[in-house]
Amino acid sequence: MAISGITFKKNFDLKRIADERAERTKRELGAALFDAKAEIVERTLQGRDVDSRGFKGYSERYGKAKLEKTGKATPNLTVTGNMLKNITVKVEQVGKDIVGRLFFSSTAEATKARYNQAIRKFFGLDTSQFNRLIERIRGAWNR
Amino acid sequence: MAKGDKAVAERIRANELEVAAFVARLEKILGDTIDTVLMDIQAGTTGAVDAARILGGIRRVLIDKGFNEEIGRLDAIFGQELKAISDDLKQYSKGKQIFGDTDKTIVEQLITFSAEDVTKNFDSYVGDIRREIISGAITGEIPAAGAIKEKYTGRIRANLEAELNTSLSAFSRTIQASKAKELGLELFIYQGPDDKITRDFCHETLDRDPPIYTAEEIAALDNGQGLDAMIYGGGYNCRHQWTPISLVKAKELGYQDGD
Repeated sequence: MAISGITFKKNFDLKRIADERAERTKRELGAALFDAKAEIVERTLQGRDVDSRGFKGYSERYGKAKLEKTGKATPNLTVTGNMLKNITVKVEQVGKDIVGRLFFSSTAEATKARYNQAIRKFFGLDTSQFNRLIERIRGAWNR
Repeated sequence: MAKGDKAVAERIRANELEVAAFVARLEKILGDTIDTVLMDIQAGTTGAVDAARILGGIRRVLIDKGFNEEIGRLDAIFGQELKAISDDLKQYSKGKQIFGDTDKTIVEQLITFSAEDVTKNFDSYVGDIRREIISGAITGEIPAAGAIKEKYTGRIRANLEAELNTSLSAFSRTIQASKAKELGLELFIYQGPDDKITRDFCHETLDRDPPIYTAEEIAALDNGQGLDAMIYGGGYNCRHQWTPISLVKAKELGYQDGD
């Protein structure tokens, strides 16, 4: 009997595969954003802005008071520490999009951050940070 | 400074003053109550036994003068934080949240705990004042209202401000720890200033190179204040935080498994 054809049958659960990929990507994005937060906090504590330049110094009067109180006069945008602690990570799926956000969840701390940002640009990702983040998401998506 | 910047600066100052104003209102209520009770004792209209009774009811006097309303204002202060989070959760209500409703629950629990903590703290000081006044009434050496107020209200102010700031700070740490858990992140880097007002606990915790810890290691840390190191860091008014990080990032910073 002649072979009329070969049938290969396998049920791919495409929805499950897509869901797993989306979930993996969301987790990687969340982790990458937390890493970015750690880098922003560390850079700020070291007195450097988003372009790695030193922050504009404090006024003479405030710098003197800060030096007397803490022994250090380098601006690190930390009095109570609440502003940097308040940087929040959120990842969610909106329709087909996976959205990751790094933001200030408290209105009070967001206001404080906006004011600081105008004078000492601390909040943001530089090109290298941004590229690394994209690479990680791409890696998670293609894994 | 530009006009807009000035307006923002004023709003920041207003936010910072909110907690201080709350404490100042409590302080005034207590001060007025001390004045009333001591004046009655000194005027002889109240004997030692009656004084003890009146002072035993000092909490009642405080309630009449609006203590509960002031405590209720805590909800307004913390409510701003809660509203910001709730609004944010609602914003993408059509999308699936990777971080569940735990955020809101945790924040609501923190509000309750904070109000209880403040009340307990305040009661403890009122108890101290009561003992001192009763003791004076019995020995016939009634302390001056000014001296009592000077001795206690400064302490109450500093303590309550620390309590409120610590609670606000605990919001961020609690939510962050919860999200890290949901994302499966098990490593945390301790971040914050290392200067002359840094506590020994924080200094030593920062001293590890890199200052990266597992959740289990953090749970075993003792900040000497009986407070959970993950949520409260070094304790009251701590300026430090535990930022969750991935193993990839940790290794970049020099972390080795099994450190």
